[in-house]
Amino acid sequence: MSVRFRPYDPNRRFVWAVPFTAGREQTRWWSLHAASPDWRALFSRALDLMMIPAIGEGDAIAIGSGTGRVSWRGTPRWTRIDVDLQGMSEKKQAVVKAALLKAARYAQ
Amino acid sequence: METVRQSTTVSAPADRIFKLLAEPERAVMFVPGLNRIQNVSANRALGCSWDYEFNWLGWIVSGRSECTRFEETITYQFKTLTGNRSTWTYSCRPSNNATELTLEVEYDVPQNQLARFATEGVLKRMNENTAREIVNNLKALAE
Repeated sequence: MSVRFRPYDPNRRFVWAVPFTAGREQTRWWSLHAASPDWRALFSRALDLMMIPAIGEGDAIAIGSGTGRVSWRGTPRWTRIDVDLQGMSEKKQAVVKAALLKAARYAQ
Repeated sequence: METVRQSTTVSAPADRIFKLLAEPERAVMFVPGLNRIQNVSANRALGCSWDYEFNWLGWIVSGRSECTRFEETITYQFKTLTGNRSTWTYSCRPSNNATELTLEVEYDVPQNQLARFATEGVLKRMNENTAREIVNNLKALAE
C-alpha cells in the first residue's frame, strides 16, 4: 500500500454535478473532455455492476421497470448528462447517483 | 489490530447480496472513496487478487488485495497484501425472510501515517462510519 498526495488526477474525467431545482430525484451533470467517451457503455457497465437492469435507447438508458433514466447529449468536447431516478427509494437514489457519478469520472 | 464491525438486516436473499460483494469490480459502486479496481486476476474466488485505489480529498491510498476466504453465499474475506495490513470479512446469515449482513474490518493502526491525518480515535470513528455506509449501500442495492 502506498499513500501519496495527488490533488490532480490526470486520468479523472471532469464531471461537475449541478443539483436540479425541480427536485432532488433529477440531477444534471456537465462533463468536459478531450474526446467524448462511450457514455452508453460506461453507464451500462456501472448499472450492471450494481445489478440494476437497464436497456439502452439511443443516447439514453432506461433503468429497471421505469424506475429511472440516464440520458446525455453534447459534442466531442462537452456532454450534458441527465439522471432521473424517481422510481427508487431515497437511499437507493443516493447510492446509484454516487456510483454513476464515480463511473462518469473514473471509468475508462 | 483494531476492529470495526457493522451489521444490518437486508430484505433480500443471501445469494443476491453475496453476488454484489464477492466480485471485486462491484466494490467501486458501494465503497465510499474507492475509485478504482484494476488488474483483477482471472480466478474469481479464493486467491483472486486486484489493485485498488482510494481517494480521500486528494490523498491516494493504493495497493493490492487478495481474497482469502470464499464460502458461497456465507462468507467473503479479503486482505490487503501490501503496507498496513487489514482484513475485510463480509458475512451473510439468513434471518427469517431476510439476511443479516455483517462487515468486520481488522486493521493495523498506521502509526507513521497517523500524525498526518488524525488521532487513533478519529481514525476508528472514520472507519466505523465507512463500514456503516458500506453495509447500508449494499442494503439499498440488494433490496
